[in-house]
Amino acid sequence: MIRTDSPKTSKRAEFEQLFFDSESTDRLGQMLLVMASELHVLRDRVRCLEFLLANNHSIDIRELDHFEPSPQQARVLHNDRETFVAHLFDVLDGHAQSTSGLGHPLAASAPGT
Amino acid sequence: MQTFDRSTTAFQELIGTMRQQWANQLYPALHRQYQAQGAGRDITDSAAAGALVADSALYRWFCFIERHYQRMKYSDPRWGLVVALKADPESTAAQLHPAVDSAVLELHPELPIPEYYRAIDIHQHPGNLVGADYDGLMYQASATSIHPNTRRFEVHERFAQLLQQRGTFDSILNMGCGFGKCSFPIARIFPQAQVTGIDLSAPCLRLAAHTVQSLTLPNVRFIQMDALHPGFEPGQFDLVTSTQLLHELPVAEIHQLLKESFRLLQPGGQMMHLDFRTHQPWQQFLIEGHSVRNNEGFLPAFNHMDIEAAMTAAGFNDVKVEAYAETPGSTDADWPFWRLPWTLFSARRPLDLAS
Repeated sequence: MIRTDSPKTSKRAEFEQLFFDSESTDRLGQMLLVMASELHVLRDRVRCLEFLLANNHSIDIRELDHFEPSPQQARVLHNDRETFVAHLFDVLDGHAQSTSGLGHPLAASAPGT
Repeated sequence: MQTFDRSTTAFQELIGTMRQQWANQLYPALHRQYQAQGAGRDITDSAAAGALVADSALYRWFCFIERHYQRMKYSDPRWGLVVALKADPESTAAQLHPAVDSAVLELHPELPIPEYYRAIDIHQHPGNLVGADYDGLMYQASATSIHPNTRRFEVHERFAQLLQQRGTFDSILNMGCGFGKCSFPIARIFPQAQVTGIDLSAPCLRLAAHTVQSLTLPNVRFIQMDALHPGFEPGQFDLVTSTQLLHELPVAEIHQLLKESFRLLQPGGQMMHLDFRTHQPWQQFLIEGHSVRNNEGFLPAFNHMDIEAAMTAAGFNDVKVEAYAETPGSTDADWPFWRLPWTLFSARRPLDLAS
């Protein structure tokens, strides 16, 4: 069976590669990438939804502007917002890295590292 | 191929498009900047080449995006490959644990995994290729965006065609075969040959064995084995190959691999390893930076080693190091897009040294 407690992690306690003049700038850049990802995925989903709705003739798209969520739907929207912000802030601790091996004895002699 | 939910698919497609635009839009702009800065100067090494662009905003963004698009592809906490594969273990298990004929797949769970293999998350693959059952699927999914401006697996199909131009072979060893992306086209182009793929990664080999069942390729098998200590008899193969394996080894291990390649070949047999090499200052600067940003820790030392001397010392003759076009036109001097400096390392075991 597949292990569900995989040792894999998206974060490791390793140094942070910096490309700009400060950690702040690099992390701002990473937030931009997260924003771009969120925006693109959202756009993709909306466009696909429009395709589905149009295919099914199931909605007048103007209803969207007058939509009032039910309490249950409001909780879903709230959770979406929290997940979005958590994703956006995830890069700010500087540990969104993978193991480079830099400094490892086996790689230490490599020039340019 | 693994399929993902719509959001993960959209995210991974975005990553692929970022990679494409990075190679085809940002890189040409950076190269133009380098050419303008370097006009009339005598640039003799990578440090001098890099000094011309290192402080520019364009170069910093070029580096930043190279690092982080790849990191996000694997490790993004919402739609990265790790979370996507962990989220659906049943589907993953179904793909990795089919009933496989033991003649096609031979695993050795007791095989020790070398320290160099564990030390680095090569190309930012978390835990490298031995950390989890789904590593083969993850590498396969990742491989769709590794080589911009080539068709999927075009590099390996062209390599198989090139092998065909170099001879006819009956027994072929494909070292570091991974999930079979190179073994399959070789087996297809040499239907009379027995192709053996070996790799350290059991998850990759399981995927290779699963895939081959749908390809009607009866002449390929996969064995979990260390290419540096292969358990084959001497002279068992007439062709030993690998793709993208050498640069993932420390120099001492490369010497060992060449020694084993020689031992496993029949007299007159050929060795062809496809990998990367450049001594052009600008390309060298890029490859050294790429090795840092993409966790290719052994690549710079490999690029610097005297590989011709190493092949000769291992006993080979007809030693050749040649530029390799992964897609038509890519080795032309005016090729405008970013690419890795693909290179073919070939040699022959002399006839007069038969053991």
